[in-house]
Amino acid sequence: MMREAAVLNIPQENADRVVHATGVKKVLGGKLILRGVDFDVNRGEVVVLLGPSGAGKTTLLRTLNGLESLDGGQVTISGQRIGYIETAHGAVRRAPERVLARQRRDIGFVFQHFNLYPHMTALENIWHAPVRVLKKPKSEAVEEARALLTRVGLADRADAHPSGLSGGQQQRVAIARALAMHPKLMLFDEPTSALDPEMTGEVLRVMRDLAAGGQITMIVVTHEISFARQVASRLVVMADGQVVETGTPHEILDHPSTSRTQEFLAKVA
Amino acid sequence: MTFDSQFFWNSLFHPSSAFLGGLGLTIFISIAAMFFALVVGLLIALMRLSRFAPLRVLAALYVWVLRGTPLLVVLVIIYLGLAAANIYRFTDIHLLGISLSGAVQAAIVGLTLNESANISEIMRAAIVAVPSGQLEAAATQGMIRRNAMRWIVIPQAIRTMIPPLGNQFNSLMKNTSLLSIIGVSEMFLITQSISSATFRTFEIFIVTAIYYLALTTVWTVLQDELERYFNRRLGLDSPGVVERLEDGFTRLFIGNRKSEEVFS
Repeated sequence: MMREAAVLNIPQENADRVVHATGVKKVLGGKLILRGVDFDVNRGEVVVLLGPSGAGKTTLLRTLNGLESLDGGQVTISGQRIGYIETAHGAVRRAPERVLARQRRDIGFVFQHFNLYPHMTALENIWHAPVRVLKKPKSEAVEEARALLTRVGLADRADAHPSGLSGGQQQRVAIARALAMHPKLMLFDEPTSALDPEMTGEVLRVMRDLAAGGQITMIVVTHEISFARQVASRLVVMADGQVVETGTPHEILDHPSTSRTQEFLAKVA
Repeated sequence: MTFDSQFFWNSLFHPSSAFLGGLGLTIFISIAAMFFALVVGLLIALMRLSRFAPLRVLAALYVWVLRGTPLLVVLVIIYLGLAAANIYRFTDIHLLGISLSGAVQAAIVGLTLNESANISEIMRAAIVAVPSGQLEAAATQGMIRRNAMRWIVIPQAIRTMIPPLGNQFNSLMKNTSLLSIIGVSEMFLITQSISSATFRTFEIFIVTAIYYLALTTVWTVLQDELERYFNRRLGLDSPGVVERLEDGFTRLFIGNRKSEEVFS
């Protein structure tokens, strides 16, 4: 408990800043995927990460909730350093498993391939963690799970297993599952990339509604330029493991200032 | 050829109480050994997947030794060898009105040792086969690794391990015939004594073969039910009665139809 308290006591210079990542470096398979990324997100923002594949967008997103360890720099979410703790002597080491697990409760994550639990129904997928991890009373969690399913338009599929749902439906359940933890921050890792084109719309609609609610800070890795234009409050363009440009959708999409952004947009548009 | 068909049919349909006792003991030892082998096997599998290296090494050693030694040799070592060396002697115990002979205890221990090594490998493979995305999803929901294993990974791994574990139980039942070497009066040993008393070796061993076959066939049906149960829990289709009979027949006598479709 002392350790957790120490983590919480890090002064917050900016109360509105949810994500504060500085100099994040990551090596994967001997290759430098992130070359010292600085990345900030404020409360209520909907940030879309754009860039060519291999730019490090997904890897950056995964460092934000400790799915990837760091090879340099640090990530702070709501003032808490993610995955690492600083000892009294200023040394940094990996945080104990339970500390990271506690931090992750407040960070929802939506995967490209949904990763629903196949042995559970849609409803069970949603109430499982609130009951098992947050120790909510089951009746309350089930009721809330039903409400979330209604919210993503799947009230009638509560008892279906993931194998009986289409990709779009599975992804909507996955979003509901993440929301059931009442996260302050939602991370979306290419949520529509594994879907057939006719199913991306239903998922993007759910995400759009979520963004319109304004309650949750969202970071979305996607190639859906129209979604970025309509929903994002800010775009961040990455290339070669670095942030090359950031600005409003209008600034980035209509008046890109770097050649890397122009190249990328020319390819996807 | 001499074939005493009257003796044969009589032995098949009106087996002596000694024979039935042997059958009962075969079933009892099989189930008991399988139960303990599942418990020990899971423990060994989890040790092999542990982040603590000494546990991994210990478990790997266990599997290496017991998978690499014949059951017959293990049985003789633990029952006769340990006693001869004055290390440990299995003695009869009486519990709740049931008496368990030393040989039966040694048999259960031997089978458990032998089977748990195989079973742990089956379980480990099934656990490792669960996609890593499942562990990641559990992690993002704030589960620690142990709970993610318990709630997310192992329930899925169970579905994968049922068929190979079922086959393992099948061979365990047949392996109980080896227990005659340490004097456990299971079906094989009883058959041998009937054989030497009547000289109807061919007839009585055919009867015994039929009884072993009946045991494994009943198990095949049960195993099918078990697989179907776990498929239902995963929301996979459960075929109707006719398809099930067809499937059962195909499985027993014709082999895997699926592969024929793929390759024809």
